[in-house]
Amino acid sequence: MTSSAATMLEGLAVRSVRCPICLDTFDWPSGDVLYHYEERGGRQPLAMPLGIDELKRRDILRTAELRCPNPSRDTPAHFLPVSYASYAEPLVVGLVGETESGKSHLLAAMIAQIQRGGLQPYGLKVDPVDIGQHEDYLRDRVEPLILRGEKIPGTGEDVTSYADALLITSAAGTRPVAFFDVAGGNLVKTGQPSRFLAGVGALIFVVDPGTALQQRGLGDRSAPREAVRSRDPAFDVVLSRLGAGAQYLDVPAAVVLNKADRLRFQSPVDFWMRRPGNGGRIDSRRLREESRDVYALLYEHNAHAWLRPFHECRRCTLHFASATGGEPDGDRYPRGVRPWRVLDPLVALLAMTGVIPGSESAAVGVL
Amino acid sequence: MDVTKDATKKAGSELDFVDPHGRRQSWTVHYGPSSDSAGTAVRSRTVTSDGGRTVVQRWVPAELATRVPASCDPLENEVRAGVRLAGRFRDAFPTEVVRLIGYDLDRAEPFLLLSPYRGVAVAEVAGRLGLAEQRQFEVSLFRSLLLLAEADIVHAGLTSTAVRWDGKAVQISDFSYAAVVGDPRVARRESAWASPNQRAGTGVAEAADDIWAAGMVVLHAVSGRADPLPDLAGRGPALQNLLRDVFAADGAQRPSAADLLRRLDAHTYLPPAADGVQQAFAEGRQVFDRVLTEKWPPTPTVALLPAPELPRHRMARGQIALLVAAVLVVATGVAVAMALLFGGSR
Repeated sequence: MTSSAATMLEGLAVRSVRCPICLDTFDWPSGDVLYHYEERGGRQPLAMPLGIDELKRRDILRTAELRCPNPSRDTPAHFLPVSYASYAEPLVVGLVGETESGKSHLLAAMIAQIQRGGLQPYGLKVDPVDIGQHEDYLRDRVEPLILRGEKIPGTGEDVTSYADALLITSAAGTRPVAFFDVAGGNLVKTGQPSRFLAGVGALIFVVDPGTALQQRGLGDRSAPREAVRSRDPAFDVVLSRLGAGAQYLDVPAAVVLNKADRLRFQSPVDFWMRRPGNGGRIDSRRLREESRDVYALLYEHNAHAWLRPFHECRRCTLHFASATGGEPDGDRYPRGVRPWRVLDPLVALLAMTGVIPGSESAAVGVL
Repeated sequence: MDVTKDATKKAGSELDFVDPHGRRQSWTVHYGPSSDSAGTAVRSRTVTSDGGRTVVQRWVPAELATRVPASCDPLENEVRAGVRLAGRFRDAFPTEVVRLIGYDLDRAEPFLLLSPYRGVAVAEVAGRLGLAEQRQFEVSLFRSLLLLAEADIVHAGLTSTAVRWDGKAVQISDFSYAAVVGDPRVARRESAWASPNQRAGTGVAEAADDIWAAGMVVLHAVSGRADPLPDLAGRGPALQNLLRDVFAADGAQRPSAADLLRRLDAHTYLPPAADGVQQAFAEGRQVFDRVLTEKWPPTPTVALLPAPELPRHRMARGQIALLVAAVLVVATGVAVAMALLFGGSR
């Protein structure tokens, strides 16, 4: 004889939560079947004997999952830890940029660095929210890019899509952090895109030097083949929908000049590319100096449209980064993929949102 | 006779690259025989364009570049230094430094092109320089360091092979280890020419690293001993005076290139920097500072700071509430006492 899910969940505090994947709000924990994720066996229904010892029951529940009810019924099946209600509100991070800006590569490189323990020096412990979806993401996005040097498909135009979600634990507690890929156009639609906008907690604006600086290859500063654009539609849609203009937006933002490997021989990128890591220390002064140089480089090239987030968001840092470290030849990176400074923007956002606590974090993005 | 093959050879090969100023170039070239650079994956050969210009090509074979990405690091360092020097000196490019002509490091077989080498490695003429030539060599060597320091470049691999001499001026070559001032040092345990900090790979690159190595090159050039020690004992007074403190353990205690030129009564002139683009960049930095100040005016900002600061404010508010309560209690007490006092006196 085994217990029903309702019996097994007895005694657990129920509260209203927001799912970081479908962004719906509902009471948690709730559900009919408990699951356990096994590394090779996938997700299996969990049976708990009747009359099980209370300590053992608690231990089993610690790693058990329930299917998210997704009341809007607009997202494929996904699962949340039973203990999800004990975590802080999810931090929803949107990566904003045009299809060719390299958002997908940037996020895959970030997740790869996190998998390798890149956030550990900051005192952060990282676990997946939905192990199955996280492993799918690693298999479909991270491994082809990082291990095999293959280009991965980007998100389509006008699409806002969930990418991955992590539970980040610091001295301040555990916070689910979800990443969404935002190409911009469809944010006027209802459903998940509008829920995304209502709950977005941080933004990473991704700048493509090919568009913003007319720099299409390593070192190439030949005469532009087309006029420099005066706006970035993805940036504009997101900022406008968040109500930018009348007052500063209180959504922390990081602007990433991506594909900076193309600029790696150009001052000041040649300076920043080899700066040593901070050994897990937040350094608001250094972040400000790098932000100032990114701003000045975009300003020098009249790329004002891509500086809009800095002018509109009260707390905003700017970064040089490269998801791949080099240019592809067809669908492959002939010299492999070597991500460069991809975690710095995320670390700045985690500091600005309090996920990484401390007085130095409080100074990031501030004068 | 194979006419097709001969025609291809005459027609040459297409070579596309970017010059140090970012302009795309396309040459039709003929390749000379290749040679390995001792101890590195980098190979060299001469390349002659259809226009009759001969340059040096340094490249890493495709198979190696793919299998061991770090084998391309020497080329990365050379291009980084070459672009920086070209940007600083532009049309007034100094003869004392080998000049980057172009590069393409994102192709399967990455390469760079350099101006032709001049003269011979100093090692080949070491111990055979007359007094006047020796002084001229020293002036030219320290002048080259002045130029590198002006561009914030640390060569980090100066030896009497990397320094060439044509009887009039040095030519600094092989920027395989070059760094920008402030880069973390890369350990060079095997190099007898490097300073102790460089050998250990501690701290960050600084111009003083090259001062130490240049002192070693001078000792080799003067003495002819291929394995000089960083020691001035037993040297003539002129050399002791010139190289005073060059081998100080602390880089900050070493003389600068300008100091060494002054010891030789030589000028320290530098060509003016081209400043058009730099002005726009500097303006951008100023705008950044201004916008940040507008967003975060220097009035109290604590109320806008995030969660970690909040407990302190809550405590402060609690203390204020206590203070208000205490004042109210005292005031009530005083009022009651006054009422009793005045009530009693009526």
